[in-house]
Amino acid sequence: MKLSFTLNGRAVQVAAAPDQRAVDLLRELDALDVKEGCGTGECGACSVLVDGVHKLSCLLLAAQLQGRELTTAAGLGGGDPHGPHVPHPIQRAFAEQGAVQCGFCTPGMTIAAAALLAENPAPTRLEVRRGISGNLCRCTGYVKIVDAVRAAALELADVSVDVSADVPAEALSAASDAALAYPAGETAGDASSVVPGAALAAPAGDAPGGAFSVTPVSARVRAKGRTTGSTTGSATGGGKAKAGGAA
Amino acid sequence: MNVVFPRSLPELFAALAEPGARILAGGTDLLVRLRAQPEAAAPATLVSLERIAALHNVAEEAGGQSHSLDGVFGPARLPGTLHRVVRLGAACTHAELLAHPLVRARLPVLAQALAVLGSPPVRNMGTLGGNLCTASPAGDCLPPLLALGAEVELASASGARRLALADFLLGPGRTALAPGEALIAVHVPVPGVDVRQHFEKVGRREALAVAVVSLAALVRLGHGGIIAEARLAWGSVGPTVWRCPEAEAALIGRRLSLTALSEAAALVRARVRPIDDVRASADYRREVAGNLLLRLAEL
Repeated sequence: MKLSFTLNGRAVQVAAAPDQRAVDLLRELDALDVKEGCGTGECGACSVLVDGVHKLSCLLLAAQLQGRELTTAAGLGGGDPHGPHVPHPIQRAFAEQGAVQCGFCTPGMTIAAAALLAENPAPTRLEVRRGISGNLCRCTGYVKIVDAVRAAALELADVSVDVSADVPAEALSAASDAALAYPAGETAGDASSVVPGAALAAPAGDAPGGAFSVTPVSARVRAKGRTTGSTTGSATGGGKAKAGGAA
Repeated sequence: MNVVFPRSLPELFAALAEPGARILAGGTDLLVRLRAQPEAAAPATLVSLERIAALHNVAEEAGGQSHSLDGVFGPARLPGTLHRVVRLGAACTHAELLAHPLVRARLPVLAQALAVLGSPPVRNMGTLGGNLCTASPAGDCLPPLLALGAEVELASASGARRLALADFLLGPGRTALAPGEALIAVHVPVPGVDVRQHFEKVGRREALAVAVVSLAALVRLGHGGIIAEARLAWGSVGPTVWRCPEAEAALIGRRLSLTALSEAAALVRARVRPIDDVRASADYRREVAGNLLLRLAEL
């Protein structure tokens, strides 16, 4: 059957068997950031956003893609489709926080993170863990992945603060240091919030794992105007640049 | 396999009347199973429910339409209900229901079960109707809906009928769904505000866990915190959702105390007949089936 859908902002028209799995079709279309792990919906490696909703492409059939807007990890970031790809803040945070080892789960993880932050822009550590609970990583032990999602949340929150400009910059960077510290216990930290300026439960100095400082958000290259906040998909650029550790 | 996307119920019934047609709801069970079996056994056509708007509604309606609700365990409707019914479209995903204000406010026992069903992407794909029609003894929606006294609405080209959920679930993977028929909605009587609602699942892990034992409990408290009615439904301890009328009866007239609950738990352990399987032993399940009751002391 003839299918038309949008893949990372690019209109796609392709002939496919209606019962071909979406994961296979997408990989044939060179979306190699979509991985197949278990093939039974348990590992999340094949995660994609379908009209902004986190789904598993191993449990979707090609026919179900008709008319939909698909975003894979490569489509999370932005930039001119014909120019250099700009990684999404989530992807940059994964790299900066050491959340990538073999990289196989990373595209799916970043999709799960994008879906989570679209719904909950300031998740606690527990909420991040629940948000990525459908995605398995066999390398990292998840701590750095949770760190990365929280770091990305802070940066994305900063983007919105830039717009409203009602939170002093000092409050922001203090908040970012404290919010990123390892909590005394997962649950203790879970009570904290990454909303800039909010009271934070885990002071950096108390963290047994050692607090780590964060590059001040203002010093980073910002991805202004791009957020994951849209439930109708966040693809702002096409391009085939692979981000997020396509292995 | 061909895949078709009816847009309305008449189109759905027409598609289901074709030989070799099978409903595709969320696909989280069906597509895994189809891949595990030989291609020759595959249905000719999968009929997707995802583009039928009528199957995606959630609404609160005045009650009073129910029939066939009076079962072995007494009237399915708790005396404390508000004579209102929440109608859940069968193709609603678990995530849609979990986020719905009516489900959260009126049916917290269902919301608690949905919150621990599968994983976020599975909840974004799997549907209520799919969970019921799969009829797994471990299906997370089944115990809450059975405790709530839900009815299923089944429809085909030749008409519609309603069945109590208890009469719809016949065994593991077996339902009363007739050929050409589709489960189109679930009608749930709304418990009154004096009914405490509770769900707990014990699994081998937090996410994507198949229940080892689960319990949905509705307890109506009368004056002075005395239990006026209890409705208890366990998952994963039998071929389908299991009720224990003896334990329910033993709680009536008592308070939600550890003493009363422990006595009821002993009745549960004496009567439950779970099996050994890859996830847990029968002995473990029997012990936990009783223990889960003790949590009601915290309500």
